[in-house]
Amino acid sequence: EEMGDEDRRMSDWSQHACAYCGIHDPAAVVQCLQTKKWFCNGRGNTSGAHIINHLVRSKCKEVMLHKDSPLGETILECYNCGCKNVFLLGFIPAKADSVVVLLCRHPCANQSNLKDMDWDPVQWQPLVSDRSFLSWLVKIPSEQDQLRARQISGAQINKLEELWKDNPDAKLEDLAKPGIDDEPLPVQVRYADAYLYQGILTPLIKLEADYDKKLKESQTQDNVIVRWDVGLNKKRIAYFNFPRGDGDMRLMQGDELKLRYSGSLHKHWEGVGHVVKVPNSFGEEVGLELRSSINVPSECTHNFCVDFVWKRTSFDRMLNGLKTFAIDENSVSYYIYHKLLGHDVEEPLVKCNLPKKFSPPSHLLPELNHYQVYAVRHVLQKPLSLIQGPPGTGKTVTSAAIVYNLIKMGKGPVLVCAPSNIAVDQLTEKIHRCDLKVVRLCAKSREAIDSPVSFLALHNQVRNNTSCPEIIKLIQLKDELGELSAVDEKRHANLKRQVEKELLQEAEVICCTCVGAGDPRLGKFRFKTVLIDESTQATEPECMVPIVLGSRQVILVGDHCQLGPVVMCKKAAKAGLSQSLFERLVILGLRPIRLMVQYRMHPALSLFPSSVFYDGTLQNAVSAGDRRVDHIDFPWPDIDKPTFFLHTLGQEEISSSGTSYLNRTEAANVEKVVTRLLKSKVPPDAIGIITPYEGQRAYVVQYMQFNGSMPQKMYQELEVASVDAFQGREKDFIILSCVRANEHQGIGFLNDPRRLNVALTRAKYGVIIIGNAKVLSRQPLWHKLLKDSQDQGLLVEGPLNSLRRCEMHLSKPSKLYN
Amino acid sequence: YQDDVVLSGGIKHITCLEDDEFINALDKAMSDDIQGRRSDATKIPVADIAIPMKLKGSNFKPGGDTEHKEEEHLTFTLMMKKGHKSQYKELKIPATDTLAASIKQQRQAEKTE
Ligand SMILES: [Zn+2]
Ligand SMILES: [Zn+2]
Ligand SMILES: [Zn+2]
Repeated sequence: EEMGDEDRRMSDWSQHACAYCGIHDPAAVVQCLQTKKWFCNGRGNTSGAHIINHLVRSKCKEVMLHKDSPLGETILECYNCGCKNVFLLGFIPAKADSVVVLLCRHPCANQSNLKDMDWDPVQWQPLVSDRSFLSWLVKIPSEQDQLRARQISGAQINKLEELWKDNPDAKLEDLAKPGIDDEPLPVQVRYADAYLYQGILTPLIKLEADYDKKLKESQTQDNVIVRWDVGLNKKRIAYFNFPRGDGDMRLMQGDELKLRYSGSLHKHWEGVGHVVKVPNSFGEEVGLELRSSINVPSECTHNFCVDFVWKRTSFDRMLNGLKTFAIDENSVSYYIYHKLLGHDVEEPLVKCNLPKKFSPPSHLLPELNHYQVYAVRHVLQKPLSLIQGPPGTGKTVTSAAIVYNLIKMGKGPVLVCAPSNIAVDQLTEKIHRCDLKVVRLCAKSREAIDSPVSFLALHNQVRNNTSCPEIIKLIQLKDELGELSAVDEKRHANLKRQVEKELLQEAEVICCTCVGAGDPRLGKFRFKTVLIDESTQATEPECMVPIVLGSRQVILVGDHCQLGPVVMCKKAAKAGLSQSLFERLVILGLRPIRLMVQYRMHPALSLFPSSVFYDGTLQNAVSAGDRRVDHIDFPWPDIDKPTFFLHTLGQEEISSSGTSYLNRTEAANVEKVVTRLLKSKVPPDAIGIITPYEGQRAYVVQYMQFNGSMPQKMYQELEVASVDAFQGREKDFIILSCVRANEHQGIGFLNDPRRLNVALTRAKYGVIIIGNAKVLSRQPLWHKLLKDSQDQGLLVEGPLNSLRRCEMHLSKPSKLYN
Repeated sequence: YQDDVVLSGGIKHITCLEDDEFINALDKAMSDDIQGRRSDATKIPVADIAIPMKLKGSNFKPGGDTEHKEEEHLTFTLMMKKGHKSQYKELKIPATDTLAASIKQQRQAEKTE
């Protein structure tokens, strides 16, 4: 059938219709150069123009104007350097003539010679302003047109973008199709049997794995410049800049990367290596130790590409753990099996001869307090127990004492795990101090990474073993030559396996991460006793990996009032993967034993967290006298209570043109507080700055360095990070900056009481909170904090050197949506 | 004739979690990108952007044409590049826009001097 005029006209404009709402006025749409889709400059019912919504959500940055628009077919780019990133571009007018030019904000618009020429860079105006393109460059569709167009919500936009990742031709209508948006089954509190349990958790792990894979595979970097070096172990190390493009993605030591050479000076080459150095606040350089030094094009420096190598190992180990739990009757005891599934089952007696004294000898570990002794005594007699350790209550020492007693009672070997390598190392160190035979089992990819307990690592114990001199010779030979002959390599591998096995068999305690417990080297081992520290930061499948190695007695240590496990896939998190096993057991009625004496905070600092998060049970082992701050010249409103809330007008500071203004205000306040502390001789490494969003971290860092009056180097030693990075650690002073809060923000700080708990409990001496009291007080928890502060005269405003009480009326808390 | 049936009440902004996330992601993208640029090692040529003689001394055409009486605007020339060649395009900026307004003010100040 022939196409009617109407159809033809329609197919013509449908080529450039906004992929969200269908608006197709050539003056009002632009094309995304990456996905070739068109979007309009109207915001419909969302907070930003459709084009901006798309660019942000799909991480695209380059656009082209329509051929029938006033400027004609035009790719927006910097006149000087050709940069096409619209988030960096803006207009600069000439000083005397009616001429404008498009330049990137840095470096081109910042170059000093512009001023000497005919240009007026101070007038630089960003292309993206008020979350849309400048209306005189790309027309904003009229309200009438927007109302007549397809209505699409932020949630639908989000789903459509997700759909495009798998099927770029998907349409909005496809969202309604069955199967597209199936939510996974949520976790339960109780499960009929282990098959059902496996059936619910397996899809959630797979979702998280898929998300992780997609994220890592999207991290390819081109045009990487490499600096070559040789490590102490003679291995080649490539150093290069790897910008933290996507904040979700944190490069970790031990991550695997692939380096490729794509230039013309050497034939194509690629090599895989492990990250041995990660970027820090002040340098973006990554160190990659290559697995093989053969044929490395070390004479070349330019034209390299870097890809992430996604590894499924940890996900496979979790899936395997669940499977073992379901099919292997010996994976756990009868009692633990039923208890974990939430069944009523009679508690068996644990046979044990309790020692008279539970503290390890005092030259080994500090004497335990009353609650710690009670906890140790209790768990030794129970087949399944939970210990809750609020901040600063000596969780790690208690865990070490439990392990010590278990060994002394003949219950070894004990498997000790934690979700993160740092936590495992800390606990390993304490257990080692108890004079126990400890092996720290590391992933092979982390063997090159130094830690305070490196000497306990299995691979280092192999090097230093006394039973097999032959392998020591082979290792030395390998170090010298880089590689061994095929025969020697085989011999080396055999001997290594044998010595490793002996060392593991002799060990009284084996320490590794939760997923590390799935290491094939432990495959044949059975552990009747398992202790998991920081277990509230592990997902449930993660915890199951060590538990299914034959456990008869399980001890979970953690604090469900602090941050939980990180689950990146929102679907999986929403379905309950972010709930820890510890938490579920609490819901099932298993009562955790709480450690109640804290050794960290000034009593004035522990008051609020204790009353809000721990039913007022927290006791102080430190007195105000132990945490005096009067030698520090700082304008505390009340010297006996080294904390205050500095009210700033965050709300008015939200500039229409984007973020810079906001960041500047936030950073300026932080800088003033920090400088004051530094001037009073507080060492920089004793100060921690918590910013809610990873994206602002870099800005605060940079701002302080360029605007602070103390030497740059001091600011460089400060730690600026998100709350999550501070969990499990302490600082003398904490500055908490939450200026960003706005009225309908349901994310981050405001939403999660556990995050606030962690933020408020890191400091030993003082806490300074900077934010907009008016906005924050609408949230019930913050309202309480602010009211408490105000009652004590600790809610203040004004410049730091003349703080005055803020007597504002705190608005009633209203319930935020979730 | 149904064409002009328009929902009453204008466009309503709908808040939702996804929208908040978008705002944060945008803020982050903008600050990350500028940070990334600052630490970028790639060499970028020093800007040497001369205004060609024919555009020198160009002055604004009187704002407001017959069509858009109410919306006064200034006409600028946008300097662009196509490959290595320069291109000049006309760009109308509303007089109320910050860029145009501050320039206009500046010029007027110069004139009165
Ligand atoms: Zn795109
Ligand atoms: Zn649209
Ligand atoms: Zn540029």
